[in-house]
Amino acid sequence: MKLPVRCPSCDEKLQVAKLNCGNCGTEVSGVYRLPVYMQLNLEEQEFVLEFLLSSGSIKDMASKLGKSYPTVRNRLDDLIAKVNDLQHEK
Amino acid sequence: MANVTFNPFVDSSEKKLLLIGFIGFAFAVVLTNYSDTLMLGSLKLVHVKPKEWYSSLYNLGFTIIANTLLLYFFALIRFSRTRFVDVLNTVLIAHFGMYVLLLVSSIPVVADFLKSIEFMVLDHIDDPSKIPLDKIILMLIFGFFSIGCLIVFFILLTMGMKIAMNSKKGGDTVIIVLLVLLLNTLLQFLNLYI
Repeated sequence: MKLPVRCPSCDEKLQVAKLNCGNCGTEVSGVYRLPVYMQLNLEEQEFVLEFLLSSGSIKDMASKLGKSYPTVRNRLDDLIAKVNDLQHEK
Repeated sequence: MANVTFNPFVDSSEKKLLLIGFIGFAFAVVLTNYSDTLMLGSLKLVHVKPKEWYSSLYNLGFTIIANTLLLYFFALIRFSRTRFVDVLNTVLIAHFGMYVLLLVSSIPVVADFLKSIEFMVLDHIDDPSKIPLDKIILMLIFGFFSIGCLIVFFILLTMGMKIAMNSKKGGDTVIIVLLVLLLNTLLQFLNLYI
């Protein structure tokens, strides 16, 4: 199931309010910020994971995704810019 | 909505693009030599006297290299991680638009027609209204086809360059088009072709 990272009503960033143990049902309530990785959309998360599994090789990524080298490099650059923005957001 | 825009620079590897680009280049060298045509810059085709094959190779190679170097240095200013091979691929693939024009104008029937039109226009230069209407219509059709080929050339060029230099700015498209127009006008004036 896709984890929503933005409020569907006002588009504000969502926070974690409740965590639940799948085994005993214990619930933990609080206000937790989502880690930067979790704030990326599903497609971006998959891209980061794929990049990690390719040992950070853009060439391998391009080959796996069937895209050209500059297309993958540009997507990575855009993602780096987005992660930088997310890190500097309060 | 499905993305139906054709962009060879997104889905094809640099080796594939380079191979296709060089095949197109070799094909154009043979065609210019066979049809006694010179690509004066990237944007103009002129009929010339028969030349040796290596002259055709030099002439087209010179145009490709001049465009590639100019665009590469521009791209480096905008994005320091631009790779030479991506710019070269862009220039090679973009020229397919002009190769199509070259191919069509090399077909003997079309070549003869263009020559006859050229003489007819020169004969009626003082009174163009005497040119037969059917010839004017055919001239118009070929004119629109030529413009279409030029548009394809520029679309492919800007698409490839924007990916090569990771640009999303519309201003870069305008600069690329202007640079290529300026360079190729300059190439026509300097006429360093053999």
